This record gives sequence, structure tokens and C-alpha cells, in this order.
Amino acid sequence: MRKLTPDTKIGDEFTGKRKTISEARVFAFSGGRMNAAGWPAKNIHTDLEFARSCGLQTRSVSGTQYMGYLIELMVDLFGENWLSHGKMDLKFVAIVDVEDSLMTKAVVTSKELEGSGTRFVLDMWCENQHGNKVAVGTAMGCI
Amino acid sequence: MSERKEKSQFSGEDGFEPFAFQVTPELNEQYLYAVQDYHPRYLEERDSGSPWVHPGLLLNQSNLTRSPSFGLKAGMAGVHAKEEVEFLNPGRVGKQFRVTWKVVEEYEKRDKLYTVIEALIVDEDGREILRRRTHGVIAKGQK
Repeated sequence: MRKLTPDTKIGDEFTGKRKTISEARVFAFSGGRMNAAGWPAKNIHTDLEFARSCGLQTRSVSGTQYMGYLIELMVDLFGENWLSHGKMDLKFVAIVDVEDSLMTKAVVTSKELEGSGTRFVLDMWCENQHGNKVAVGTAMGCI
Repeated sequence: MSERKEKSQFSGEDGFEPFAFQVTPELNEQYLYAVQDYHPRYLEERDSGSPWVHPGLLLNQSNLTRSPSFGLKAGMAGVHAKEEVEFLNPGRVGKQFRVTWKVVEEYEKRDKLYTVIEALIVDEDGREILRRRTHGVIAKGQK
């Protein structure tokens, strides 16, 4: 994984790891504590009937789960100090199904000197196995 | 059902009861499995302290559904549309965390009522860990 450096240029692109979201991982993320009675908890992420009862066509993976993928990419790029000052915004633009395979990507859109460091803004997104974006947003931070 | 009634069900007329939780190593590892991120910073002691809590865990535990006073009628669910996150400090495994929420904005878009809720996570030492704003909408079934 390349990191952002003072030499990184606007337009430089970065790609994270591809991750397939198994049912077991959905349960681990959205089903509550594994040692709790009745685990996994029923909700729109873990139970199809529950999701349908709420008017949804399918159960969907929690957007928060793949936000975690984007956070991993940003920490890789900015360094772990990003978790002490970084910002991100994200829109969830498509449903993610269990067993979908997501890839995180980012491109540098802004770079400015700030004090003794460099401040970057990146467009970032998750795309699925069909190449469709499922979450899009921006991340900001300094190196 | 009127939008006003729906809004009050989502936003809570008396505010939201804070949620306290402790992050055990087992809970942290549950989330590492869920997001497939086993970086040593989340597993090994560092800087004379315990491992860091994975941010995905903190995001998931600060969803409004965690508030003890949050409730929706059967056949309704909160759906996450958009998110803004500010990372303030890394959380440490073993610590107790407290989440508070407040409604900061409501708006209509494409005939749907969105509620913007700000969550703040603070650890047992009073250190602010993460602030986020979620834009949510209610999904509901036919009943």
C-alpha cells in the first residue's frame, strides 16, 4: 500500500483490499455481541423477513460495515494519526447484499501546505463486484 | 400516518438516553473479523497502553438504535443515508465509552423526511473519541 507523501500529486489514485462480505461477517458486525442470548439479533441487516416487514426488498449490509473498509484505506494512506484528526463524509448510494465483494478506492482532489504538514482531500468510494459504486464521499486529513 | 407522528417516533420527544459500553478484547476482535482488518494496532499493546478499538466498532455502537430509549413500531426501521464523521482520538480496548445523541436538523427530500442526528463518543477519562452526524430516514412496511 502506498502512503500519501508530500510528493503525492492531485489525481493520484489508490486502491484498497477487495473484501467479500459473508453472512458470518454480517452477523458479527450487525448481530450484537456474539455471546448474547438470541444472537444474532434480528434486524434489517441480519434477517430477510425482518427487512421485508419494514418494506425493504432485501436485507442489506450495514453501511457502517463498509465504512470500516474506507477507514482502513484512509488510515493506510494518512497514517494512524488520521484517527486523531481525520474527517470523512459518505453517502450510501446503492444496496450492498450479503456475499457482495467490495473494493475501496480513492483519488487525491486537493493538496495544500498547512503549517509544517500537507493537507489532502480525497474523493473515496466503495464499488462492488460489478464495478458499481455503493458509497461515495470525501476524506480530509494532514500528513 | 402523518409525517409529524413519524418524525416524533424517530427523533424521540424526550431526547435519547445515553448508551454506555465497554470494549473487551473479544468484542474488538469480533469487529476485526467483521471488517477483515487485523492490523496489529487493534490487537497489540502500544504506547504503554492497550490496543486501539477498531473505528468500525465505535461507529456501530454509536448508531442511534443503541440508545436504550430508542424504539420504533414493528414494521419500521431506521435507514442510514449519509454520514459525516470526525475522528478525535483513538479509543482504547478495555475502556468504558458513553454515547450521547441529539437531533440537529430535519429536512425533506424526494417526499421523505430525513433526520440528522449527532452522536458523540467520550471515553471514561472524558476524552472525546468520535463525533458523527447521520442522516437517516424511516423505512416502513405496509401495516
